[in-house]
Amino acid sequence: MKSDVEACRGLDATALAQSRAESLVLAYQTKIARFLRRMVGDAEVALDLTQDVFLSAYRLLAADPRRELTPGWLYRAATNAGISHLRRKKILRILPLDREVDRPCASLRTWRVDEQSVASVDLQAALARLNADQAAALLLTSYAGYSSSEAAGILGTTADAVRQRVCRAMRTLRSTMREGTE
Amino acid sequence: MRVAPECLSAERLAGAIALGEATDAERGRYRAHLARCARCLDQLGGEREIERVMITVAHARDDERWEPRLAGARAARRGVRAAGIATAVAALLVLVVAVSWGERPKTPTHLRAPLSAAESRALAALDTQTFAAPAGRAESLTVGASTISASLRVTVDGRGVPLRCTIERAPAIARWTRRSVGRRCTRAYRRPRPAAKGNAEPGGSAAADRNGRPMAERPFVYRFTKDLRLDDHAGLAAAAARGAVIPLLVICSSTSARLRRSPRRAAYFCAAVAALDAELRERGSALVVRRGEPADAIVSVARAAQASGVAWSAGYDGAAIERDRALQMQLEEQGLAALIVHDAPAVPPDETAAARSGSGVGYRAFAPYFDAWCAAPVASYEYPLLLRFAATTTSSQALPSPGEFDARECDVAAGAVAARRTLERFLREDAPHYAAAATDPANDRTSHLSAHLSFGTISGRAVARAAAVRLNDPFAIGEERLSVRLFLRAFAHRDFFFQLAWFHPETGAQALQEKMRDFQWAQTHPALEAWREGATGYPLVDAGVRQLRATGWMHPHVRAVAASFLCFDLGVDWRIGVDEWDRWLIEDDEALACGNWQWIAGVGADMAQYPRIYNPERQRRRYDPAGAYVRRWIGELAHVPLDRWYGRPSQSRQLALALEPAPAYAKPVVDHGLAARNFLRRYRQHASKA
Repeated sequence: MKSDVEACRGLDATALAQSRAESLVLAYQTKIARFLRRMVGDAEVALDLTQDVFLSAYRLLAADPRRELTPGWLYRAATNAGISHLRRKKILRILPLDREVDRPCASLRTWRVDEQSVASVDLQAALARLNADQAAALLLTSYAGYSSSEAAGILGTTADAVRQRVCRAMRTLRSTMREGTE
Repeated sequence: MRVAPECLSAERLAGAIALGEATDAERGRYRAHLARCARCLDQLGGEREIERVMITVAHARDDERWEPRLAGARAARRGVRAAGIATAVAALLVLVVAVSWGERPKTPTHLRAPLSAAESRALAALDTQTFAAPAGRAESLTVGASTISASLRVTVDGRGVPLRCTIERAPAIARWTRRSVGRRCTRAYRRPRPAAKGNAEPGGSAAADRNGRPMAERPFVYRFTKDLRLDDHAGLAAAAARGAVIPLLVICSSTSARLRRSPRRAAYFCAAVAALDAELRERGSALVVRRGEPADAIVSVARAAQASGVAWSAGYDGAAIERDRALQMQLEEQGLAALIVHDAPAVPPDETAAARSGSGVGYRAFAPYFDAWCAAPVASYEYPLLLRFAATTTSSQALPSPGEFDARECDVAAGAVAARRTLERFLREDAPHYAAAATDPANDRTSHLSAHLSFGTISGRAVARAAAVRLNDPFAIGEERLSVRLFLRAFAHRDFFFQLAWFHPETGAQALQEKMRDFQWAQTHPALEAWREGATGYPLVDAGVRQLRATGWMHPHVRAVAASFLCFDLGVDWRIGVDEWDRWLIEDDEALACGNWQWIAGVGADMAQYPRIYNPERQRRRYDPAGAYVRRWIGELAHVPLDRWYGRPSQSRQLALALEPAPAYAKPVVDHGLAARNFLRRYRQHASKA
C-alpha cells in the first residue's frame, strides 16, 4: 500500500489529468448515461455513447490537464453523440416493434397522479416519437435542469428556439399521453 | 402547413411556461392568444395542462432508478464498432481501475465527491482536527498518519467568528488542491464538525493519555439529546467505537424552556426518557441525568469517569447549530474530544451535498434533492450487541418528570418500542393506501411518526429502510408501490428541510428566498385570536386547530390548509404561526417547522411561481365531503346539516326562512376570495419589485 506521501507527491501532469478525469467520471457518469438512455432509448447504446463522451473528456484533459471541463461541456458532447447516433441509425420516428432491447426502459413507467385516479404513461415511448433536437432540448431542460438560455448554449442555438422545441416536444408528449390513457 | 407568426410566438411562450421561465406578462399574452386561437388551445393546452405534462416528465426523472454499469458494458459490447470501441473501452478501463484502485473509502461511486486523493485525506484529517486557538494563528493540519503537515491560517472577524481558512504551507499538496481544501476548511470551520463515518480518534486508537492509559480503555460519554433510543443509533455507535459508553442526559435551560412551552411535549419527553432508562438498565447500565449548563455537566461527568471525550447528535436549527459549535469549542478547550454526529436525518446533509457538486452547499430545490436522496445508501447502525456500557459508578440526579415542566402524564405511547410498533402498523395497514388516503383527514392513514422521529425514539434510517423493503415487496401491486413511493417522497422532505437548515441556518428567523425577506407581513389581525382558538368560521381550519390543541398533532393536509389561512387570508407573518403551533405540538423540530411554514407561505424552498393559496371551504368539500372529520372536532356542528354550515357559499338567491335556530358555530371571519385576491396582488407587486 502506498503511503500518503507517495500518493500525494506524485501529482504530475498525467496524474492530475487522471485525477480530474476520475472526478468527472464519478460525478457525472450516472447523469450522462441516464440522459443518453432517455435520448436514444437503448441502455446498451447509451453506455457506449457515455464511454465515448468520457473518453473525449479524458483525451482533452490529457492534452491540457488544467483545461476547465464544465458539466455543460459534457452534456454538449453527450447531446452531439446522441444526435449523431440517432441520425446514423435513422430511427428517429420509428418505434421499435421488438421492445426486448428496451426492456429496462419499458419497465420505467411513470405514474401521473391526477385527482385520485392513477394513469400510467410510458414516457420512453413518447420520447421515441420526438425528433433528436426536440428530445435534446426537453431532456437538457427538464431532465438535466438547465435553463433555456443554458441549454441554448449547449445546443448552439437561441433560447427562443429551445423554448419552441420544448413546446413541440411537450405537444407530442401530450398527444402520446392522451393515447395512453384513452 | 404554414403556421401563423402569432402561433409561433405562442409556442415560445408555452415553452417558457413549461420551463417555469415565463413572466406574468408572458403568461397573460399566452392566455390572450389561447382565447383567440382554438388550434393552439387544442394542441398546446392551457397553463395547467402544460404544467401537468411537465410534472409527468419530472416524475419520470424522479423515478429514474437505472444505475449504469459501465464496466459491465465492456463485456456486453459487440458489433460493427468493435475496433474503435475497443480503444475506448481500454482507456476507460484504465480510468475505472484508477478510480477503484487506491486507498479511498469503499463508498458507492455515486456518493463520492469529485475529490482527489490528497483532498480526501486532508478533509478526513480535518474532520478530526482540533482547532483550539483560532484567533489568527497558524495551526498544524495533520494528514494521514502524521506524515504530511500543513499550516492552516484562520482569519477571524471582530467577534471571533472564523471568516476564512487558508493552507499556507503544504509541500505535498498541489496549489490548486490547497485552495480547494482551504475553501472547504472555511465552511467546515464555520459549522460544528460532525464526525465522518469510521473516523479514528484524534491521534489514533492506539494513542495514550498523559498517564499512559490507552485511549481505547477509557470510557466515552454519549450525551442523549433528541435521540432517545439504543438501536440504529449513529451517535451511540460512534461513541461505542471509542470506548465503553456512559449514557448522559443533560437537562439544560434551553431544553427546559422548550419542554415548558408544550406540556404534551414535556410529557412525551419524560415518558421516552423513562423508557430509555429502562432499556439501559436491561443492559446493565443506567442513564446519568444532570441539570445545568451542558459544558459544566459534561465536563464533571467526564472527569469523574475519566472519559476521553463526548459525542452527541447534531441539532439542525440555527440556534442548535450555534450551541453545538460553542459547546464543541468549550469541551475541546477542556481537553475532551467532542464528536458531533448526524443522526436525525436518514441521509446526512453532507452526503447529498457532496453528491450535488462537491461544493458542500446543499440543495434549495426539492426535486434534484430527492434524486440524490434516493441514490444515497441509507446507513445502518444496527449492531446493539457491540454496544458496551461503562459500569455505573457516576452519580445521577432523578429522571425528569412531567410535573417538573408543569405537565401531566403522557397520553401518547412513547419510547422505542411504541415507535417501532407504530411504524410496523403503518407499513402493514396504512402505507398501501397512502396515495388515496393521505389527504383524507377523516380516514387518517398517515404514519403518526412525527413525535417519535422528533425525539429520536426511532431513527429516520429505520423508517426509510423499512419503507424501501415494503416498496420492493414482490407481492405488492402497482398502486401499493406507488403509495409507498409517495410516502418516501413525503418522508424525504424531512431530510430536505434538515439540510436546508444545516446549510442555511439563518432561515429559522428569515425567509429562504432573498426577494421575500422584506415582504410586509402583518404582525397582528383582528381575527388572529380566532385562528388561534379554532373559531374562524371555516370548519376545516377550525377542526384542525382544535385537533392540535386537543391531541398535540394535526393531520398534515389540514396543517397546510390552516397555515395557508393564516398567511394568505389573514396576511399574518408565518413566524407567528410557527410560534403558536410550537405551544401545542408534541414534536419538537424547529428546522422542520420553519421549512414547512416557509414552503406554505411561498417564501421558502418551494419553486412554484406563486404561493399555493388553499380555499378552506373547497378543501373541506373535496377532502371531507361528508364532514366526518369536522364533526369529530367541532361539537357545534356535530348535529347541524351540511348545507347549514358557514363558510359554504349559498347556491340559492332566495332568502332562507329561519326554520331552525342558527348554529352556535362562528361565522367566517374573513371573505376568503377577497382576502386571497388582495394578498396575491400584494405578493405580485412585491415579487415584481424585487
